[in-house]
Amino acid sequence: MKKTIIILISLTIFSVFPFKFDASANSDKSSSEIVIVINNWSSQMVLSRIVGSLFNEMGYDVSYAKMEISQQWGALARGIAHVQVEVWEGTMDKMFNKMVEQGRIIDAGAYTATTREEWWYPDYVEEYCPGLPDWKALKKCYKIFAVPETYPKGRYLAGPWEKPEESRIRGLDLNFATIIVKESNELWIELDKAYKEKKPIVLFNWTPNWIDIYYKGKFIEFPEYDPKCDTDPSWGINPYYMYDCGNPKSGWLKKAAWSGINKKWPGSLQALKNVSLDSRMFAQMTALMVVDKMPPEQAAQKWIKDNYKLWESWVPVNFKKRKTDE
Amino acid sequence: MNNLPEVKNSITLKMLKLIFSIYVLVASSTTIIQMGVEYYSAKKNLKAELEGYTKMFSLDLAAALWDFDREAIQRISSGIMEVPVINGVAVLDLENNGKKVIYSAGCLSENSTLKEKPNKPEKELISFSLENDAYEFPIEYFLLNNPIKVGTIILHSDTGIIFKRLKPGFTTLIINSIIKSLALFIIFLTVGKILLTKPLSIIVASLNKLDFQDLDKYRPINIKSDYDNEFKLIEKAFNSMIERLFKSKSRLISLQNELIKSNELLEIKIAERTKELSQKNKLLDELSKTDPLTSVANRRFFNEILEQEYRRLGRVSTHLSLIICDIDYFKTYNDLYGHQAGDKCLKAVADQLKAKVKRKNDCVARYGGEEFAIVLPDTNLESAVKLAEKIRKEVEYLGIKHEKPDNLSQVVTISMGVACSTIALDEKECCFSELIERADKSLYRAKELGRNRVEFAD
Repeated sequence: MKKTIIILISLTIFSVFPFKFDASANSDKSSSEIVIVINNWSSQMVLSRIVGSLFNEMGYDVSYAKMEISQQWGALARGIAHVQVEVWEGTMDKMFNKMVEQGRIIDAGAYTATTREEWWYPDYVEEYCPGLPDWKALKKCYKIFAVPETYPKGRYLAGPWEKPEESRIRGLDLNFATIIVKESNELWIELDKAYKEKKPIVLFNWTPNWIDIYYKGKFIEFPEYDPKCDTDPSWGINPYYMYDCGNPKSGWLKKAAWSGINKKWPGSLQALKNVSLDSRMFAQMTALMVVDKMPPEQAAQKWIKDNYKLWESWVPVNFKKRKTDE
Repeated sequence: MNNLPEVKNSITLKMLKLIFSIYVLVASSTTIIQMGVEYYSAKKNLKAELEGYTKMFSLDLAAALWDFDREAIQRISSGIMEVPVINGVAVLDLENNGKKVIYSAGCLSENSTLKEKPNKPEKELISFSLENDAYEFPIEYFLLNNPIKVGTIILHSDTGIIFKRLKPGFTTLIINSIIKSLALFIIFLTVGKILLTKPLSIIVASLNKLDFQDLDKYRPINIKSDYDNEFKLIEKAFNSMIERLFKSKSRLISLQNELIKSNELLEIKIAERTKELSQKNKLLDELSKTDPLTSVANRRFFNEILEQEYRRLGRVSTHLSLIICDIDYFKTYNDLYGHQAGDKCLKAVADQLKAKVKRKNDCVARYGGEEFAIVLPDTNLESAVKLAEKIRKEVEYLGIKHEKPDNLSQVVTISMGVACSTIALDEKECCFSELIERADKSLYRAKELGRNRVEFAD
């Protein structure tokens, strides 16, 4: 209980004093805070706080830096930020693998949860568009997804992340237009609205996601992913264009850290590696924020409280001993 | 201009040369300065332009540097190399506070000036780059609105590119200067012709036509100008001078005519005076040769004639005779009849002698007192004696009353001595005296023998 109070206090402090980014901050500077990257989707926001609490538990100061995915790699490589708790294969594999190969960042291990990012629809849409989840069904019933902005083309609701969706539509010759939302929450608002009215909708979704708990649906099954699909136009069903395939299935979800993290903050890398969640846990954790409308700090606090033993097990042994000695 | 004769050191031409040279010098200087300013301005603008290109590419380049994406860096840098003014690009990464060339192309490629110097401090590399017409710009990545320097891009654009850009401008500038210079030259030439050469031609032509003999036909200089200028002043002064000259000439002609008249009068007077003088000289000469009482040659002229004739003797003539005659008892005559009667007697005797001696070269002279001498060239003794006798008789026949002491004759008579010489010229001096002496002795002998007679020397 005492620990929980400490964690809560620390989380409150972080929320009251927003992150102040120092442009000159890097491993050589006197900054002693472990900087955790904050992205713009719910699970990442909550999980970052949970991991931050873990470092606090180890005795390290932590700060949070909100940045785009595109910004995080340079920050992690330069030691401006030190930890990214969610690296999705579907969207970040190339940069992650390159950075790891160059030794600029450290692969801090994968979660047990596997990931998939793809076009998704609620189950009831199958009634309007027989043949789903096969992508070819979209070629016939695209009009049911049309909205005034896209008519006669069907609407595909995409997230605020850079994805080659337009290329995929062209490669697979789909009669769809992409509408990109500004924030991921807009996706769920649209989904909820359509879901309640049983209106056809196809949108970007991923797993693990809290959506899994509340909305039943399926990913569109596009042609199987192959690395050549992203690089070789002749590969796939369309010999002229790339991206004539779906996203990888059962992708990994990993953690990344600055290459010098363990030297500066001994044990921190091990702690990060220890962090592991399955898909269900991810969904539950995210739901605290999205469904229960908790701020990420509060959601993290709630999650730690509910999963304290698991959370505590992630603290490296050495630090537990030291704490015991104290 | 055609009317103006060629002048070696024409002032107009000198002024034209001087002004044109100064203008060309000034125009060339200003053109060079302008070109220099244009060059430095272009160089400055080039830097700004390169900075602009850098800004254009910097977002993508910063993102690529941020992500250590070499392929993207290469792609973007290749794109930068396509910009015409850029002929070299190098991208430097600032990883680990170092400076690593991660891309270089063009004249900044590894084979050229810019090379990675791992152990050199950053400043040294920058200064090395800038010396080679390279401009360095920092590349900043904005993380949460905070700039983070992630690298450096060096763009190279050499002087040739600047000159290539400035070439049309420079060409226009030079052509402009040439046209201006030529225009000035033509304008000055034309203006010089109108304002200087033409009036000068008029003046020179007028001066060349100027003839003092025909001043009345001379046309005044007329320089066409609506206002007074230097040439107008010259025109006025010159025309005024011509007017004065004309007046002076008229006066001069008048004076000249007067002078001619005076000369003519003078010449007449001189001629008259000369004639008069000549007459007087002649008279004087005659007087100097003539005895004033008797109007026969005097003793001095007698000597000259005798000497002259004596010189002719032996060369031209063969004989020279001399008669000396003396009026008998002339002292008594004077005593008896007075000197005036004596003079009359002398004059009568002389007249008789002149009357009888008719030849041109013969000479009758008053030898002294009541003595007369007659020089007779080319006359032998016989002829001379005959003439003497003839004269003696004629004097006697004059019948001039004279109561002489001898009572032989009561008229004036004369005694005469004659001598003749045939002596050669080389003996003249002694013989000249000797001739007189002999004639004189003959006269004495005639006196001694009773007077009124003729005696001669053999």
